[in-house]
This record gives sequence, structure tokens and C-alpha cells, in this order.
Amino acid sequence: MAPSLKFGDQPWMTRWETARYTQLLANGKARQFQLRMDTNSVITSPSGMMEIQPGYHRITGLAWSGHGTIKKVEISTDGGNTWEEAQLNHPVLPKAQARFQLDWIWGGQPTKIVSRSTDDKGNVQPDRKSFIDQMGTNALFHYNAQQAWGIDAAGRVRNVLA
Amino acid sequence: MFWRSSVIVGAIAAGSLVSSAIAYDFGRPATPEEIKLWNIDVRPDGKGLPQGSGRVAHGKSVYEANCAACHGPNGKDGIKDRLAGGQGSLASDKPIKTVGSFWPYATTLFDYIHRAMPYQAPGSLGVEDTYAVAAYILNLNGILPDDARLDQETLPQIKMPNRDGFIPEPEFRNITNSR
Repeated sequence: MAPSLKFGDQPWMTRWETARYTQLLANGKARQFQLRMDTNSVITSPSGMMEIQPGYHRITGLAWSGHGTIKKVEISTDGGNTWEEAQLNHPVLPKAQARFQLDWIWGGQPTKIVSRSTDDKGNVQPDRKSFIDQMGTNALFHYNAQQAWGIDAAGRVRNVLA
Repeated sequence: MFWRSSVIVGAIAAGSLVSSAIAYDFGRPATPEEIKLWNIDVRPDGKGLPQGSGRVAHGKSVYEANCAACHGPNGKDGIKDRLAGGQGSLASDKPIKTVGSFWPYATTLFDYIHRAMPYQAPGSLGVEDTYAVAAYILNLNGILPDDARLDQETLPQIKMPNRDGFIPEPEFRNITNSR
């Protein structure tokens, strides 16, 4: 079968356009269409199911935004109380994943580590509560709230809520 | 600079793809028969709907034979997407998104069923069966009466309950240049 493309001058409003790539909000209305990835990031190391020792760690991860270019990634190593700006590794390209890193000494106390990205349009990755306040709990495809990893006294890294 | 150089690399990669396209059957025009098989999209204004019709009563038997195993009796309690009910739930803590509570256009039912359902044999339902089962699903949602009949004229005229429940993103509000 030879591949072919069909072009239209208006939406077909197919099931995927209408029932999926729309974002139901807490107020019962839905954003149409939700095609962009919102500003997002995740720490990939240390991350879930790893086990770390007290001492030096280089926190690394990925950030991205469908609206533009990642300008800043901040990292909290105390569950979101204080934030420190991470270093972005070049190249940082529009609508592409940007790597970030931050040196960290873990003292061995239980904590949560979180990342928060900002893009060049000023979009800031929301915390989970802010996200739910706006979107409700029915986000299907485009969940972009801050991702937290919990670290217990034994150094076990697990998925937790921020 | 990174951006510029990656564009050039992309152009070179695309060029080499074209020049190495020597495989048999690659790049020939699609035949009218092939295009006809794919050209089945249905728009909200009804463009693309084929001639034919179907009634709610027949749709019930089509549904029970082809759909109920996954979507449950009466469009509820199945292992896959719920199709009926949920109207008035969208602003609650437990929104129930169904055809009746969420979908803005009834034409989407025909398009999706005809191209993609039933899951194990997509495209196997004929035009009459598709109109009929679409009518039955709308009937389950209280949108069509028991004796309703759907065709290419009546399906696009249905106003779905959540038709006005969507807020276009700024970039989709006023498209003046689709490029």
C-alpha cells in the first residue's frame, strides 16, 4: 500500500481530536485542542527504584516544552521548600528535550527531590496541587505537574506525590 | 548555530532518503481504488457520510453482536470505554466522559465506528449497520428516541449535549493562515 496524505481546511473532529486531545478542566469545560506538550521536566537520576548512598550525587534529568525553548530548570532537594537553578547542557533547542544537572551532597536524611522547568514564553511547570486546581483529576495525555522522588533513610528512591 | 546546522543535516538526510528510494513499490502514485479505501473521513457538517440509513432497533442487535463484549450492556460496565451516561458529571470530582456526556459531534460516531470498530475486525460493519449502531448509542444516551432513523441528512443535524463545552486554544480560535 502506497502511503498517502489527505489535507483538509477544517477539523474532522474525529474521536481522537475530540475525546482525547482535549483537556477537561476542573470547571467541566474542555480545552480544544490540546496538541502541545506543556512545560515539563523529570529527574532521571536519582529516580525511582534506584538506591543511593550518602555523599556526592549529580542530579540529572530532562526538560521540554511544546511552546518553545527551556530557559531554566530549578531543583529542590527539600520537597519544594527551596530551589536552586540547575545547569542546562547544550544544545538547548526549541521543542526538544534539554538535559540539566546539579551537584548535590545527600546528608542521609529522608527527603524529596523535585524539578521545575520554565520555558522562553514564561510558562512554569506547575506543582501538583496547582495543576489539579486547574485541570481536575482527569488529565489523560498531558499531565505536566512537577515529579517528585522520595528518598528514605536507607537511600531507596521511590515515586511519591510532591 | 546549532539550530542552523541541524536544519542542514536534516535536509541532507531527507535528500539521501529520496535518492535511495529504489525499492519496488516505493513512491508510485496511489491508485483510485486505494484512495477510496482510505478516503472515509466524515466531517461535522456531514461531508464524507455515505448514502444509507439505520434504525435504533436494528442498532441494538448490531451492538449486542459486535460491541457489548467490550463496552458492556447498554454502553456501561464494559472492559473498554463507557459509551453512555455521565451527563452532568463533567464538573464533578469524578467526571464520566462518554459519547453522550462529552463528545461534541454525532458525526464522530459514524467516522470512528466505520473505520475502527469492532476492535478485532475494523471496517467490517457495513454502512447500514454503522448508521444503526450509531443511532442506538445515541438512543442509550437519551439523545434519540426509540423509533429514530439516521442517515446522511439527519446525523449531522444532531446537537450533542456537550457541543458548547469546548474552549478553543488561542491558536485554534482564528486561523487565518493554515501554514
